[in-house]
Amino acid sequence: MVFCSDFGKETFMQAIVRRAVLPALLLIGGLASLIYGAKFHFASVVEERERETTIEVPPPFLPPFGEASPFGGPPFRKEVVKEKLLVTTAESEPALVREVTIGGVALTPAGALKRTYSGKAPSLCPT
Amino acid sequence: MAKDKSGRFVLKLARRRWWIQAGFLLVWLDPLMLRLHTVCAPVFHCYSCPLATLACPIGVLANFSAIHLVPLLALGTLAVLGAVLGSFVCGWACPFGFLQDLVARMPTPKLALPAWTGHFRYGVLAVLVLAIPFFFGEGHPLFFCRLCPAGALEAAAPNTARLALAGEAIVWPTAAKTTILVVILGAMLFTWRPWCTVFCPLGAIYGLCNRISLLFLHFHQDRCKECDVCRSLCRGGGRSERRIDGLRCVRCLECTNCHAVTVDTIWERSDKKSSAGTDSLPA
Repeated sequence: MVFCSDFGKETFMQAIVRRAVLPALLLIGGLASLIYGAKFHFASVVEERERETTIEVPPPFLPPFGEASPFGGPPFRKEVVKEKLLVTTAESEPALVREVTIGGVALTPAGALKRTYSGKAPSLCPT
Repeated sequence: MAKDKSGRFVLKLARRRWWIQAGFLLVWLDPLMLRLHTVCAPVFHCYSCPLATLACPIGVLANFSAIHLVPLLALGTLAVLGAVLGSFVCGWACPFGFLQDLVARMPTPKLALPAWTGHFRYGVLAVLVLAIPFFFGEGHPLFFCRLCPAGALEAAAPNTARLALAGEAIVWPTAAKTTILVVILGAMLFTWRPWCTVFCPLGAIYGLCNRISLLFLHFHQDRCKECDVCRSLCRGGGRSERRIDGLRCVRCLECTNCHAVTVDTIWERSDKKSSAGTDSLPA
């Protein structure tokens, strides 16, 4: 078996390192990076979600003795309010790759990842 | 004998490069409407293209730099393919490279760019793809995707046309993006693969891998008659990988028309007569 060298002046060891060892290391590193990135690499993404809550609003005026009054108190008014919540989810790297293609995540000044949309995702990259 | 057979195979393959490039186009242009944007492609193709199957690795690198995350999937894809193929990806699979090859067929005078212009690619990679997104975010005007001609051609132009046809408010690409696209398209007429050889950050990465990839162009010094046929065959202005600007080589295999240049791996059987430039071990 003959080992090829690109250039006549390159030594055998140099050829082996350059054409066998280095690509093998790069290949193994690349495969490891792919496997880790696909399966084990996650990042926290904060997103704003709206939640509807039903609350009971007391009447503006309560009669003496409140509900203990023999006539009973006036009924509490039920009101639906929307409240914003910050929810943190762990996104895998493949999901993050898809998100960055539509500009779906951004870095906050505090260094956290934030989803840039709520509800339906945009269809195109903003650039 | 085996080497002659492999040489003939490589020559046959080189003659069919157009077909192979066109075949890869069917992969990148999402014939099954899969939209697998969780997967990184190994080629330069904008993920906002209406027909893009996979995600652009340079776009992923730039955006992950902006959000301060290491893009392991993109780096892994580039490392695996770079280690095995080097810039064969550029010469045989890349759709933007294919476009440049098609435009270069037009009968216009072609200029050879000096070899040092190939170093601009590393500046584009380091500054526009990595540094500016990292320090200034993806909103910066010099963020790579805001300037990318592939994005302008494959995404912005079709999107603008779609909005115009739908009667919606048209979103025009930026002046900088449009100007760069027009300049590159014009340059394609007068020089071979101007984007690949001067600006492409993906080609910069694969070009580095040319020096160490498992498959490489082997120049047999003992067979060289100093006729410079390889130089005349090489559209990149090189002399296969004899010259230091093998970094710019896209491995189109035009130079393999000369019998002194072959595609080899490090483990190749060869005659001792032709092995003046090789190191031999006992069988």
